[in-house]
Amino acid sequence: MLKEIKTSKVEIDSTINEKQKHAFIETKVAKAKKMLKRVGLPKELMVKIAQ
Amino acid sequence: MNLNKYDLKVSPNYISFRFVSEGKKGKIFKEIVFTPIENPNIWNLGFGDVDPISGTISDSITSDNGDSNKILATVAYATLLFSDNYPDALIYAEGSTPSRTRFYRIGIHKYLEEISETFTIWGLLNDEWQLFQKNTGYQAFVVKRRL
Repeated sequence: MLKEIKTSKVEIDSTINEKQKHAFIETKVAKAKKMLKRVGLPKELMVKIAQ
Repeated sequence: MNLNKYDLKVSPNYISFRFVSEGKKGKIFKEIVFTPIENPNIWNLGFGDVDPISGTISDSITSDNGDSNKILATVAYATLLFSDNYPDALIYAEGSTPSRTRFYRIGIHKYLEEISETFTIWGLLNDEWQLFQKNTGYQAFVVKRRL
């Protein structure tokens, strides 16, 4: 089980600003949007979303 | 499955994760960021090295720090923590280069049985999605937590 991966420490750090717009993230998101617009999602997920 | 992984620091909303890779090239700061792409609930998994001075992330660097298994286990664990908090999220992952995509593929391939207990994984092959199969050169991946 993934949950059985040897435990490591997980610490909340409020200084991590997830809203920080790294150029890296913008590039990745733009690329992902372009790809998903072209190929869509797996059929099984489209069915679930439509329900 | 008893993989070592790195300690994680996480933003309060469990969207950004940081850790420090320690290997033959010293300490390398890493960040994993889940970013919403669009509805319905699709998130991009971004992962790369953090420049300690500028704070910017790059996934075009090949660190080669000799700890790839530990890094893969850490990314998998961050994905698990993220999905604990966003169980309906669809997670899209694609490497910035074919070798980075291959890195993701090797990680999924290696632990497919264990990962499949918690997640459903699709791979994109020739612009068609299919359930992940071993030894297939996928272009991208979508991961969904099993409810």
